[in-house]
Amino acid sequence: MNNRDLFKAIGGVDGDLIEKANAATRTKRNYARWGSIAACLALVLGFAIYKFPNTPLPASPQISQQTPAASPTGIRKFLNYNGYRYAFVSDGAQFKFTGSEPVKSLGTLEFDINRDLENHDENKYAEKDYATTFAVGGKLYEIPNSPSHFRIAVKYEQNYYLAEIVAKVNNSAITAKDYLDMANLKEHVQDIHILNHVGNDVLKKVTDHASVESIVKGLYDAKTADLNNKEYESIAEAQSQGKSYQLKFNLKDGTSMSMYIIPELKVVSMGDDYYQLPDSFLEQSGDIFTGLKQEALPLY
Amino acid sequence: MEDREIIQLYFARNETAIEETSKKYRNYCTRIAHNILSNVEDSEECVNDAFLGAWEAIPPKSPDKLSSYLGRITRNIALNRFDYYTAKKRNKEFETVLDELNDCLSSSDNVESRYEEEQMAGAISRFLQSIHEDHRNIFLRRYWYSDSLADIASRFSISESKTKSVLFRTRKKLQIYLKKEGYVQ
Repeated sequence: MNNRDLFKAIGGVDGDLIEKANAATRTKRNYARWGSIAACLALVLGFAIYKFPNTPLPASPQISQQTPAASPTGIRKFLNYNGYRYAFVSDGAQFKFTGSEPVKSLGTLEFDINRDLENHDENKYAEKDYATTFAVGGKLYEIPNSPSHFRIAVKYEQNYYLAEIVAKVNNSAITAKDYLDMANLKEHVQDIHILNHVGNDVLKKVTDHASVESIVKGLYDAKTADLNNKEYESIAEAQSQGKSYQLKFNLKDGTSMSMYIIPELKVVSMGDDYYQLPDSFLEQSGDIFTGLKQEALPLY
Repeated sequence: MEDREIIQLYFARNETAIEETSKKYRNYCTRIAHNILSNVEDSEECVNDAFLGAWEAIPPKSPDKLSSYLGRITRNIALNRFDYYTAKKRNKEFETVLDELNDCLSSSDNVESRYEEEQMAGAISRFLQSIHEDHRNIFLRRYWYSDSLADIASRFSISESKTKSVLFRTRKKLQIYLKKEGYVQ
């Protein structure tokens, strides 16, 4: 017998179990994720710019992506630092810093989560700081002028990678305000592109300052959503019907940061969490989604 | 339309049976095929063949669960096509799904061993009934529906590392069970 035979034999298991698995989701929100596509790139210019919001920062680096985003197969590339879970930006693409390179060291990625899982999770590395599923041995650095550490740099084999906060390691929720403050999106956003959910088709560009500001401001009022099964299903349904859009915030440092929004359900994702948007958000910014058309995802 | 009514149409040799099946289960089956073949066109063809297969098999067959019955046919056709297409275009994610199942076997199992597929499916069902419901569903999403780790993690609101860990443990348990039952060496 080989693995194909076993796969076929599994095909014959009790139809009841198959049906239940088809309807199954987990009720308790624990470590909510919004698919694996999460692009998300946000450079935090943190404190310096926070104090002087209108002053350009000469020492802030420009950051450019050097390699294409890897396809999100296999285990997610993430690391734990300072109680936060960070996802590697663009699934572990390499980045180049121009202007100033990261110098302040934040430690070394010592613990290999993949290996620990193979050993039945015995050391619980998945919950430990400096544990990672990618670039084990890599050094963590603060990105110049980004003291909030929303994004950090990882130097591994002479290449830089970016990692961005997506959740807390203990899975407690991050409020929209905290997330947006850490990302300092208000100061860093340049313009916003609205893409189809998959992110390969720009449907609209929002470039005027007032609209951009109003969108970011509106996100501050989003409340952490504690979704039940039915709501998860509605989200999946809306995604499959082409009602979910990617909001891509192009940032002044040359990178971008993405969220997913379903205007009809008034739901938005930031990092790994879902947030419920207030009615006022759509009253103010809902118009930008009218008339947008995307092909429904073929299968989901 | 209820499954029972659709099956009655098959028994009456009424061709709207396929139409009704398609309305209700095309998306479901296409997703299963796509998880294996990773190509929209091939998946659609595979689903059409599966519906034709159902038309030829019902009657005499009268499946209890139409969804899993259709899914199973789709899965088998897709697996055969996957083998056929492997030389040309590989779906790495599905290769991984198959590779993971090697954990449940031992190296000597790859040569030859006689087993009754249906009996073994029964044994696997019993095993699955004995484990935690979440773990069972995660296992079936991976090895019945061939879902990606990311999709499973998202569906169950857990991290991919947790998904991987649950799957690993379940495979190891299944290996012990299959050994005990005499299906693997």
